[in-house]
Amino acid sequence: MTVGPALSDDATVEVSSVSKWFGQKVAVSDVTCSFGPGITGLLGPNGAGKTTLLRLLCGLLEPSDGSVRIHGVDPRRRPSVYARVALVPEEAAVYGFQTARQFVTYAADLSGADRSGVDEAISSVALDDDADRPISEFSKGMRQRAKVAAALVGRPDVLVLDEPLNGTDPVQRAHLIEMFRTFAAEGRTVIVSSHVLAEVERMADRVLAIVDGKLAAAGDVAAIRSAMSDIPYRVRIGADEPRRLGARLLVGGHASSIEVDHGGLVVETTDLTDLGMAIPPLAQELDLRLTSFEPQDESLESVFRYLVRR
Amino acid sequence: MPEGVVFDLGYTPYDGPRSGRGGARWALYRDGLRRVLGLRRKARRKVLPALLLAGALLPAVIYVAVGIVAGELDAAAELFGHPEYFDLTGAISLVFIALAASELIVPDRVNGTMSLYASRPLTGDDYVLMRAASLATVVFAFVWLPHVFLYVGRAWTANEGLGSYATGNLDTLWQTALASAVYLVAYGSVGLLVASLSSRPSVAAAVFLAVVTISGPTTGSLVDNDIPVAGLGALQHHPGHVKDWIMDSSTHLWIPERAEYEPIVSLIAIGVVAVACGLVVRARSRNAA
Repeated sequence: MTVGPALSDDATVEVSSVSKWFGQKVAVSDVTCSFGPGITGLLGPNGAGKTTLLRLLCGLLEPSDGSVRIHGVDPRRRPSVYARVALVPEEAAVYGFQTARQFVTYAADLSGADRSGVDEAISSVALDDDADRPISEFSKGMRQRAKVAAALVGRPDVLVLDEPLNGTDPVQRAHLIEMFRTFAAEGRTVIVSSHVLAEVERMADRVLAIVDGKLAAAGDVAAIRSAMSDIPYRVRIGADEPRRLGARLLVGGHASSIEVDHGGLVVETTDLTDLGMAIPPLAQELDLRLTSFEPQDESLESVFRYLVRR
Repeated sequence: MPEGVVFDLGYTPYDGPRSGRGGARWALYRDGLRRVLGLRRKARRKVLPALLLAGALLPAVIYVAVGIVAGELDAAAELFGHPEYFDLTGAISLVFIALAASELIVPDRVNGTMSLYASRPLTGDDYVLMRAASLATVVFAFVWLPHVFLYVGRAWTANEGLGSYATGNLDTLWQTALASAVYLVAYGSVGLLVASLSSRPSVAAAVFLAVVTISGPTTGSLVDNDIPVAGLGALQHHPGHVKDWIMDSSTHLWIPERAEYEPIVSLIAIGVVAVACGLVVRARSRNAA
């Protein structure tokens, strides 16, 4: 079942009740979601179905059931709409015998755009000095950047990235992330799948989590976390007398469990607001000095971990 | 939305015209031509196609040269006509197709670039058709050009004069073009099929040559042992049988002929094999994406 946050207000890509099965194996099951301007991160453990979903979006696979629409049209009926979509696939997808310039030029021809953007695309991924070398001589990171240039050269409205930062060094990674953010800031749709959650967190305005082929969560990370009401929040509270504070929190029903450590305590609660409101008067009453109040599990990684466990 | 900073890296959007599906098909076709001919590749990639073309042209060059020097063109024509020439160019075309088809199809699958095509304004059928069209263009030219050269050489050196020979033998042009197309379909379709099933170009080329050339002796032996239906499997011999029909010649006792099949049966066999191969290549290309 899908709900509001899975749908984008200004959708360029719409996925309606899409299922995909391969023989007996169901890879994607009844997924409804949409993607609009900005960066959407697609998360899921290995084998969850996220790559299958990306392949369905890009026309590499046909849905077994349901439909995919890009700019409101069924791309299977009008493949010309794919001129406005670009994919950076996870696999190699380059010809080693071509130079980067030849590869990007060929990609421009295939997308139907003119060739005036070839140099710009190559520069945008900082491959100017290596543009006329065969791709077979490239490192993995350079190949990755060549693929990104080939995707950008068609000046797509929708950019689909499957593990786009694989093999890149930290400087290149930061550069590419900023480029994707620029692209999205111009009102274009970027869909990115990555297993490096910190990168998705840096890039994405919104995430969709897929687990076992089903849409498990959608929205921004904090909103997804707060929607998981059955999983207690973990908060670390810095205090000079943590045992006394912990005891009062338990007695008052503000915490379901506590762990005392040096200089503070880790509290689990199902009602973060209640906890937040209870702490200051308790501290005053007990004459404690509070030093910090830090939610421990609002990171994408912990949210993702919870989703996969459910 | 989370806060963030966006740097202007100079990327400019594009709102200009797009050539759409037609442009993508044309790009794919052009890429196929380059790939088959080894253009924009290292020199060694160009050498083999060039050598094969030179080998196919050589008899015509020698014929014309000798005819000019010895002045015995009419006598030479008795010994070496277009139908006989096909037996040579057809055989060389096998090697050419083996190399071209594998170079055209295998790298797309091995390098994972099918996703490059599938996510562009192209259908799976566009991919198969454009790759086949690239192969067809080059192979047709490869098989037919030597005949055009021979025709022009004969016309140029004819005792009756160029214009008179050219107009009086126009049938030769369409007959050789049609026979070239038959060779192309018969061998090219099998070449694409084998390439679509292989993961290494050299293996694809070797398997194709083995399948086609072994089909001759094996089916011939079966036909000679009173199993005439085996003649239908003589992949190597069907185009020759049809060529003799088109050109009203008899250069060889083709195996389907030995099995007492009419040329039309060979033509149908070529068509059936080509359609079957096309369907398999289409399915393979879809799976590869």
